[in-house]
Amino acid sequence: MGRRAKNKQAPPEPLDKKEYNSPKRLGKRKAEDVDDKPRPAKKSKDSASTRSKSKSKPSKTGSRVKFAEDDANSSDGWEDVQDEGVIGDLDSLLGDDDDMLRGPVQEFDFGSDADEDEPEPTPLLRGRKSKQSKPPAKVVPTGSDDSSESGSEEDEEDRITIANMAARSRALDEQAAAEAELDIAEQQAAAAASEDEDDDIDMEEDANGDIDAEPFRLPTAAEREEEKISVPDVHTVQRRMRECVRVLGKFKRLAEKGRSRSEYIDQLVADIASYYGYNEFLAEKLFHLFAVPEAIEFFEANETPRPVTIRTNTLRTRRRDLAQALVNRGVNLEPIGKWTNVGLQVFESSVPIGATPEYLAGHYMLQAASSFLPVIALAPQPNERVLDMASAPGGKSTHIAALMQNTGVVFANDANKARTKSLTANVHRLGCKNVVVCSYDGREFPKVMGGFDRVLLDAPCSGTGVISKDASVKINKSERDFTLLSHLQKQLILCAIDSVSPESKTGGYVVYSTCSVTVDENEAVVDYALRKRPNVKLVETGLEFGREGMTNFRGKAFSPSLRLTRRFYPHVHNMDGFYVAKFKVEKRAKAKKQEEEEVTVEVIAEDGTVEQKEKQEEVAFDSDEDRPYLEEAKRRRMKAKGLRPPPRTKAPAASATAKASA
Amino acid sequence: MRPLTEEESRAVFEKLANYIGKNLIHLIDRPDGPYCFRLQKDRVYYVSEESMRLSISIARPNLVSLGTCFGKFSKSGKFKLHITALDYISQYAKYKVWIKPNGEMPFLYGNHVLKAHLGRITEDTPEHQGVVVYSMSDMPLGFGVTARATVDTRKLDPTSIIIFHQADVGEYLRDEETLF
Amino acid sequence: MDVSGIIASNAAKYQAITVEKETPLEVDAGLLLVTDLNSIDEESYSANLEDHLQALARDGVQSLITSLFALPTQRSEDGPLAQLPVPTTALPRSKPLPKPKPPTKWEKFAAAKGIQHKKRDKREWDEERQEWVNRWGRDGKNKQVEEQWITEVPANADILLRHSDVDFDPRKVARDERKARVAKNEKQRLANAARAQGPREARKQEIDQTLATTRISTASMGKFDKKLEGEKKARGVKRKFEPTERPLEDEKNASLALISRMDSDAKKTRREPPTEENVLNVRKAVRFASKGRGGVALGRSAAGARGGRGGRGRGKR
Repeated sequence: MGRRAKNKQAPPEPLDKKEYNSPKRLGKRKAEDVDDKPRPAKKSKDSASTRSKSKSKPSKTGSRVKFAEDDANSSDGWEDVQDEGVIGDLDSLLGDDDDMLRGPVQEFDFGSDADEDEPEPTPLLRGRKSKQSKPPAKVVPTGSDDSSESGSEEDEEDRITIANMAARSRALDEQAAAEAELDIAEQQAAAAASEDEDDDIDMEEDANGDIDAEPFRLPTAAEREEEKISVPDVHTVQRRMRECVRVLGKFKRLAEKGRSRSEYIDQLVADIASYYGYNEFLAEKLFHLFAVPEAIEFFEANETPRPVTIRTNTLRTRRRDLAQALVNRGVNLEPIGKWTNVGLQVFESSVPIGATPEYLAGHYMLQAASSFLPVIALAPQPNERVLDMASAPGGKSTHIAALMQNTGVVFANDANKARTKSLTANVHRLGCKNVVVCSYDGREFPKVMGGFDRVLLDAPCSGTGVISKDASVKINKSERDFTLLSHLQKQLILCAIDSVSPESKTGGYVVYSTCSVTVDENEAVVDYALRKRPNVKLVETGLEFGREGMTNFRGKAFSPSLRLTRRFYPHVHNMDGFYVAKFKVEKRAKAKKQEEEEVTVEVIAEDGTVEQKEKQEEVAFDSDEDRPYLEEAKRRRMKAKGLRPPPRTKAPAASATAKASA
Repeated sequence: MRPLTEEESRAVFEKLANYIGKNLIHLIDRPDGPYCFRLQKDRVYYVSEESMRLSISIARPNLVSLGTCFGKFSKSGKFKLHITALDYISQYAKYKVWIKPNGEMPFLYGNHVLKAHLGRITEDTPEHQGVVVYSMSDMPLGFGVTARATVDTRKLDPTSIIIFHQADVGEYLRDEETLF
Repeated sequence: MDVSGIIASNAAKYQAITVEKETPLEVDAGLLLVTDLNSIDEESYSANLEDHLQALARDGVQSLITSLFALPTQRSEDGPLAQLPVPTTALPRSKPLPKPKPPTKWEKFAAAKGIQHKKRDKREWDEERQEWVNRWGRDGKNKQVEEQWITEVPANADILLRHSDVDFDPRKVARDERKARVAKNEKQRLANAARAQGPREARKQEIDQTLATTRISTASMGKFDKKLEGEKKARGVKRKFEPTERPLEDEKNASLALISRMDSDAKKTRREPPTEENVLNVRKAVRFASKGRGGVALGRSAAGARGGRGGRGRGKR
């Protein structure tokens, strides 16, 4: 059992009770939205935030757009970073969920407004160094307060006992009112804080008291070389990182004379690498994915473990019953969020969560929240034929089987034979009777079997999204690994696309996902597939949150439809870094016809009108000219049959009469 | 993958009949579509026709599992039921035993069921009869063989064994390496 | 802006791209092969072997890559592709040389007599057609007589025919001669093969075949025969299974039939008297009392001796 528990998830970290009860309950907004008017007040207070708010609020398409604008417009690129932070802040205030925002690292909230189709992936930059070290608490935005169906009312104080659940729900209103007041106060405080922030960061730094008046000076190249030899002081590095972030935020104003932006970035990347223990290559790669302060948040989030989550096996039980049973065993849990109706988040447990009788009887599966996403995107229907190309340890395959209610066939493939053992064990434990486990290299696939309705490719990847789970990634990944992996992924994705039957009535979809955040394992691979297979196109993933995929990155431009793919980040959504793209495979013939048309057009264009004429002549039949050949063929056929053909002299005459009649 | 020979079928059916008796017919003659038994690398799988026909395309060395594994044949030709068959066995079980919550864990660690842990038992269970073991919340935990008939259990002292352990769901963790 | 620092730090990371050696490296770009003919520098070799090897490897790879960049390139979707020249280095064959065949009888004889073997070409010159034709095989020269549209019948045709009542057919005669030659050749080939194998091997094979035949030459096809110590499993005996893909209806019916048979078997065994109540095993007692002759014989003898009570009655008591 040790093997399984070890492989899958970290043990549930005991979360501080204080944390749940922390006054930073920014959520619970929606309920009080109607009566409390803290926002206008705040608007009048803070001019900067008002501006940004008015900008962001009406356009629900998200401030990502604005973010992009910033990137494009400002010569420096990162000038508006602080504003961004404020926007994020406000966005989170728009939310309606109650207990998601307990941690300091804030999630986006685009949860429950029905009209809010587009998520707002806004980087949140509130976290100061001092606060960032606390772990984030809840997976993804949830709107569970009023819509809760099971156990969501249980609050932090008495989550374990279900007896007083009813009492709690009765007391909810009063509490809500109290919370509303708290929120107002909190908001005002936040507003004040953000004002301070905007005014001058230095002030706060001074207030922190951990630096003296001595101004920050970027070390020169020579000094850096020197430092490499000696062991750097953690506090110096920490402070230098903070300063670099600050300077890069307002480069024109704060930068030292004669120092370039790239020098600051180099220094910052080097410091990140040494502070968080990455190799320099990976630190740089990950750093460039984000805006500067967000990158720090990302690295910080990788240091804290993600919450333990489980998935209810709907083939065996219902979530409500499972939650009840586990609560009776002394497990403290709550639904993950509105986006899934099978997930439960485990806060703390007095028994090993991977060895309860319920676990052994297959009532649930230990599974990271992020691995729900590709299956939700795949949306398998009953009676389909589905392929999971890299399926071990089977969380996704069994989820697919559960969604198909044990009908149709699921092929769970994994190249690694040793890993198929745990895969098979999970398949059987969860009672999936329609699963066929096989062990092929995924690249062999359309040859082994094709004609699938849906294919899930959770590609082997560098694991840069799950650094919190497996820290060895920090140092053991080199440029070569990334090249090899993305090459493999490109091969696999083409195989996955070829394995899908475009004639499928219900499906014809491919979902590509990785637990990595780098662009060359995600967008680049998807873009490659789009280029190589003209008969596929990207479609909506059906996931209502997550950031849009990048359409350009460091000089590489991808297809604009990559906007339909989704990215997930540990510091934003409090789940593993993840990427999901969904393709629709269409019939090939159509594409071919287009190609042919193009070809003919080209020929005409090159050779002029003569070519065109000839083409027309070729098309028409001349029956008179063909007649002798036809006759000859007829004679030959008769000869072959052993009949005596009519004498040849007759033939021209017959043709002559035919001509005359014509 | 191949169908069972008659001897093999007999071995499998005899083992299953020990637990589900006449209900064995319901496994073979199913109203919801044809199912069949298939042998693949000495494991016996119970699988729907659709899955089976599609799996034919998969080469023998690459096929790991299909449908539900019922058990394995030993080298000497004996058939051993695996815990993976519990789904079907519990569905059609003739004789059942419910064990108390404090007996769950010992049973899941592979121990026999003691009289002290016995919650309920089907009436008139004969001796050496295959029974399915449930928790008090009707969750199937495994199966075993009765050591005594129901009528004889009254005289026994609480520490005596009532059910001999055959298989339990704990094997999913304990024997993951050998089970598949 | 001063960028010299960046340039310097960058430049320090990389080494020169030209490789200077006493003997220049030999590069065979076609095989992506570099040969370093320089003698090993003992000093650096003994100082740090790993570094030394890495330096050597770097130089080699560097010169190879330099030569690759000098090659003509071709544009492709994935960037420029260099066109490799034809390899200049001759590689040794990867497989071992085939073993020499054992000489045939003729070859031995020819070697002893010093006869030079002339290998005949498969094709030979046809004077009439003025072209090269096959000596045998398709349209072979050896079939010329058979395929001629007209053949002269020899004067002694009837003698050749030896009192048969059919007409003389020169084609058939030619064909028969040719077939006889082929048969003789085949016979000689087999004889040569057997000779190469040796008499012992041939005998062993024969014994194995005989053993395999006798093993299954009993009424039960050898199923219940005792196996000898160290006896090998009969090879080539294939078990036959039902095909995986046959109508499942058949399979279902077979299974149901099997179950009903098992049921009736169980009933048969159940009909035997239950043994729990009787401490005494009646059958065994009868066998013991009658000294193995059976209950009827015992009863007869008991009736003769004591007039009435049989062994069965005794057992039931």
